[in-house]
Amino acid sequence: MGRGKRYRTGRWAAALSIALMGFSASGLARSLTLNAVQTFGTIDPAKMTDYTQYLAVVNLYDDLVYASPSGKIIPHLASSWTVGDGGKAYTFKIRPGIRFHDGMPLTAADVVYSMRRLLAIDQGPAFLWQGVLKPSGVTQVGSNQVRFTLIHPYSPFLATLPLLFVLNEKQLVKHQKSGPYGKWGDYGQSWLLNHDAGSGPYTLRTFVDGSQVTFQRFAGYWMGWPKGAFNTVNVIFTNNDSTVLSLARTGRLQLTSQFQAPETYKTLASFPNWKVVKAPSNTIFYLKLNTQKPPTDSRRVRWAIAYAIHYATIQHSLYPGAAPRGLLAPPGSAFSNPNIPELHQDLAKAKAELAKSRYAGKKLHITLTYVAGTAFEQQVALLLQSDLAKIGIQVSIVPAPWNRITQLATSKSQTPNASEVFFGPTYPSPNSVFYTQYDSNAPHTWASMAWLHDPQVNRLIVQAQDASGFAQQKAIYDKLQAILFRLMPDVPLVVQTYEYGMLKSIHGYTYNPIQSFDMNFHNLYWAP
Amino acid sequence: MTYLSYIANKLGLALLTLFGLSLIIFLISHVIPGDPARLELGPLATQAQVLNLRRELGLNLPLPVQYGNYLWGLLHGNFGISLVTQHNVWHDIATRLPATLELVLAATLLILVIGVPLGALAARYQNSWIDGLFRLLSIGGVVTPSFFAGILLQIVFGYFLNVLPVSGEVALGVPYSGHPTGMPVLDGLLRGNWPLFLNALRHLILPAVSLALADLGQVARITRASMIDVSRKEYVRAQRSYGLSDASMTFKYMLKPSFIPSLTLLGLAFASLLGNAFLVELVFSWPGIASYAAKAILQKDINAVMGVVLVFGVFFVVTNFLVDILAGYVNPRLRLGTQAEG
Repeated sequence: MGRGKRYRTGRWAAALSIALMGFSASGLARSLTLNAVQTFGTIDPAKMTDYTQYLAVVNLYDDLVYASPSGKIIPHLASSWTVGDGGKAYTFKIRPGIRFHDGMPLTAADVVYSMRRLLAIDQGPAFLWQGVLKPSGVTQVGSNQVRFTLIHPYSPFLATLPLLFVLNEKQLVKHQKSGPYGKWGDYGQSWLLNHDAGSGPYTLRTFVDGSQVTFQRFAGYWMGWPKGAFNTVNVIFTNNDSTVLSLARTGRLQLTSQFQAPETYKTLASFPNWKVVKAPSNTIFYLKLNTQKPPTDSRRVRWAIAYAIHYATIQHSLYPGAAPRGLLAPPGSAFSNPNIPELHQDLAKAKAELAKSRYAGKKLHITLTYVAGTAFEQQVALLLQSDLAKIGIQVSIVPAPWNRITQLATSKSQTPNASEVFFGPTYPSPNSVFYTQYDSNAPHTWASMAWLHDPQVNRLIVQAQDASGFAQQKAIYDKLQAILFRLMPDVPLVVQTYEYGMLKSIHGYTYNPIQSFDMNFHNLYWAP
Repeated sequence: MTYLSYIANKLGLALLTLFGLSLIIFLISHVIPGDPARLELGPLATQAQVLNLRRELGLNLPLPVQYGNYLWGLLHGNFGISLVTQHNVWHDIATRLPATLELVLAATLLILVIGVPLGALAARYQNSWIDGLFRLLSIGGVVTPSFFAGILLQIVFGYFLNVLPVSGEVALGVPYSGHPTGMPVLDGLLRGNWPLFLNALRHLILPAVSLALADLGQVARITRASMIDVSRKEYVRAQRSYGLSDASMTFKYMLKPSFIPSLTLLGLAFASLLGNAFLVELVFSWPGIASYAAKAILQKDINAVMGVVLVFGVFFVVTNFLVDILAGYVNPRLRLGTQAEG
């Protein structure tokens, strides 16, 4: 009884607090504060590599084209485009009337400058166009068109262009310092450490070395503004859940990052004025199996492992998310092969696969690594150890820091038999999934810890790159997915779900398959 | 002359310590896993891009050459460029260090003004309930890690009571340019900007208390023990026999000699607080050196890691040096002992 009374008193206090918070928040209806889990290292579109950096860039700049929630490439700065010369020449018509934050008009010359600058600096997303596009292949055509002439046909090219953000050439030339790029000096890199040169929906109001950041709405944004749009967006840097909860409860935070603990989202959902928004992502949590190391070099052993795992425990308890069907997510996306089934635990089939493998009758032992300090990955490792013991495979769990895992991944012999890894495509094309992870000619990184060397897979990936048109690509990707499913280099465990805590009055959140593009503040608005 | 040699000797040792520190950190930075160029360029960068950046950063050179280049730069006041922020490391440290120093100074002040009188009070009422309560609280303070204390304080004063801010050093709506010192409480005072002063002070309370708790308990315990020890001295009994009041005895004749061990501890605590401030800063999103250093370590930003460790090393060495000299002045026996050795 006493406990119940205390609970009710607590609820009243919480309700009062939340009511006050709602009042204060409505008073600041046009100001949004969110937390990011790390500071911004760089906000230069030629150097961005991580989630937080993309979050800044997508709000400060405009890209040539954009991606819809389903991953379809849609016009943005470019109002239309044509593809010619056998899939080698892409010509984009630049939308008129767009202005940069300093009031200068955005022109085709700025697009040419931005791509050449990116290729010259050769960092950030530049790897996407390595061996595909040279600086000389980027030219202005007429007054308002840009042409990219590729070295060879490359069908994913269009899908990579949302990562090309356009900078204000005149502004950067004005601020450039001497540097290694001839007449372009340092390409304005030092100035861009604390400034922006974009045309995006927000400008930088405050940017103190990446740790105190406020974005200011750009009133002259060419796409216009929804009613209730936020005038300023403040970013607080914390990944501490108790801080996030305290700030949320006291009205000092209106939107959380997507990297909070599950318990934090549960608590936020219990606040009267808060909601938790979920969206299935295109990122999959994999068990990557080293196909070059005994005993996981046997396809049957890999299938035995795949059959032994109790997926439901992972997908419902350890890391709640959707069940994958194959290697493309979310399940049912445009290029997914509908014939690929979900995986389920079947110990009888697992034992049968082992009995048919070249390691039949032998005592099997594998090493399994995960990112040290990640609680749910440790739980998954323990589950796998227990599941595989049921079919006679002994698992040694070797947790390692992420830096160590990325280093191990560059050597075939050092890569463990099994590794727990998240992978999501960098740009909305199956090529980003298949080339990066399974083409043996791709750079060997943590994404390719399966070390797959399969000529047929390589060939199909290249064929899909050369193919034109959705139907042709879909046919190739269907075949590729079927082959990869049979080879089972990676076991897809669960599709990651994005979760954000936010005030109920915040609307407009839209999932986007690219990096942190879903945190484009232009979409968000306040409606009590 | 002897005392000067003593100081020169201490200075030489300090420089040697810093050199050794730089060498060890340099080696550790290169041994821990991860390629800085790969981490900077992202996991999907091509090997050619990684090799290019390694060349640009001089990471392809032999280790002794890299270390020599670093030291040469250091002698010319160049800490190198941070991979993460792309700024000169000295600029990064100079921007963030004031916030950390403000936190550490506030914690030291709390230790001094609360810990010492608390210890004196407990000694005065030795074995009473006041002493019992004091011992319970001081042991609690000593055994509670700063970051845990921070989280507890956040939950109580931020989440439930909502009376104190739990994040940052000033509220978002309060204009603050970081001038002239980079410490908003002090700047508010210096400029007579009372809204800034009060706002920054409220933000400072919880992090400073979290940081101070452990050393506060320790200093209070040392003061108590030392005062009890002094209270048994002959001269104290003699003065008591003259009929001096309790307060006069406690604070005039017993506290001063009892303060020496606490002073030594306080000096060392100031330096160690810098290290403890790391976790407290992360808990309270304090814009000090911690978040910078944490990211630098994770990104294997060697120049930034070296810069932060060296600056902290300088603080430790200088503080130890000052404590040695100060202790010599406060306690004549130490000074005489030094001269005798010389």
